[in-house]
Amino acid sequence: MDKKNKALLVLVLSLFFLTSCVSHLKQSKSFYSRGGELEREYKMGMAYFAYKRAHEKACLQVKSKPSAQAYMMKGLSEIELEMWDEAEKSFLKAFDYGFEKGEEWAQNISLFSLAKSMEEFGLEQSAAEIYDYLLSKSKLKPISMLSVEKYSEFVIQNAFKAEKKEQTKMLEGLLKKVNKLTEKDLSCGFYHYVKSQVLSHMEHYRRSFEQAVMARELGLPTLEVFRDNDNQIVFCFRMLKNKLTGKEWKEFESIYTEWIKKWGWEGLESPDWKRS
Amino acid sequence: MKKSDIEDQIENAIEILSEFVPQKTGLYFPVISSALVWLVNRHQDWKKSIFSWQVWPDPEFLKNKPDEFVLDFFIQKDSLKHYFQKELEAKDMDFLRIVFDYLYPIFGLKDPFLNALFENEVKSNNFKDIIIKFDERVTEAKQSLSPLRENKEFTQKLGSVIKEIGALCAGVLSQKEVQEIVADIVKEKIKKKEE
Repeated sequence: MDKKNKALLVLVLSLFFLTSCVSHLKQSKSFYSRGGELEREYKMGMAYFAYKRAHEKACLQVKSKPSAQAYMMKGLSEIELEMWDEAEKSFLKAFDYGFEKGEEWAQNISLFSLAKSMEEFGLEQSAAEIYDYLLSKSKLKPISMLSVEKYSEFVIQNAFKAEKKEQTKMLEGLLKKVNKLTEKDLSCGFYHYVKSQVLSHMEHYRRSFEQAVMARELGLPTLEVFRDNDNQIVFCFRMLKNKLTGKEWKEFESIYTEWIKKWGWEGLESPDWKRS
Repeated sequence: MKKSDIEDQIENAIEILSEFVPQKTGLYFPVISSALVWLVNRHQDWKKSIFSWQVWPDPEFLKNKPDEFVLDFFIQKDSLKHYFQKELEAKDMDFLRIVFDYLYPIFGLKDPFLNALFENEVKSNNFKDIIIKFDERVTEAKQSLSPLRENKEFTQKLGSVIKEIGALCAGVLSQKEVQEIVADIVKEKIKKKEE
């Protein structure tokens, strides 16, 4: 093979490897965003497979051409697959390759894993403190969502044991924290769902209903949460039916009827999935 | 659409899938039934129902509910109201909360997998047995389902048979009807095998 042909071969091979590397990263990103789309449609099983594919592609990219972006994609898909230790390592690698947030994200995951272990060992107070820190500080949305769920359960459970005055104070504190989350990310249905639940504990049924409607409209992470949110909507309706009178009730009933018509419910208290 | 056509399709699906799902585990019925229930409810989310014991980290629903919500759950369903009448009258919230944790996913959220897993108990309103057997049966189901989750061939075959049935009966049958059809066919098959 003469020099000219060799150079041509090298060029062709380089181009081939370059395009295949680009396509792994591209494919990983594409599978990852597809996973997110499927999740929003409650197709969780399919979302899981999309994240798995995203992870496979990111691993190939890391092998052939490691970069900050490749490790970031690897870490993000690992979070979705609950591979906490691997995700932490990936973000640290991404940091090594120049992704500034990598170290902070790795730290968030490390803290979350720690809180989970503490909870399993019965150290719930310490775990709750970490969840509290993460829900307000973490820039990683999955971590923030999981932390607000865990922290809310902890506070509500303790509120049950407290005197009325202390209970109100605890729930108000929790509501403030959730408010901050909805202010930060108004489009996250799950934050509105949590807010609706907290407001229900405070017996603010009208506001709880409004938050549950927002949650439903914005989308929720799983079908169980979606159905629980529907039950909350019906529960608020029943509570307000007993509480409101005259013009106030008529006004609420008319709004309620409009919503359930939009959602295609069969009756005032029968979401479509409850048909027998 | 004749019901018998749907039954034929379901029978065919069960035949194909039976090689993957070990009958002895007791999962044979809930896996197929829950997949179909989701389908006829037009959620098109059959995979989620099967792999509902997922490994990826989605936040769950908040389990700590206000007293009024818990009481409302028991009061709205006649059989629950009747069965737990004494506790409801005494407003024994400690007891009712424990029971609620077990029964709400089945009767409140209508989880198709759990409904199929406790089909007999649900049908006979045997709440006591659900509570007693819940942890053991669910743990067993989780363990048995893990290998299926990774089985690509199973997922593919399930996908295609469910699609076929879906074209026939989406929206035609209710959750209860599907469960009954699948239960009858599966019982018949198990009986035949034992003979």
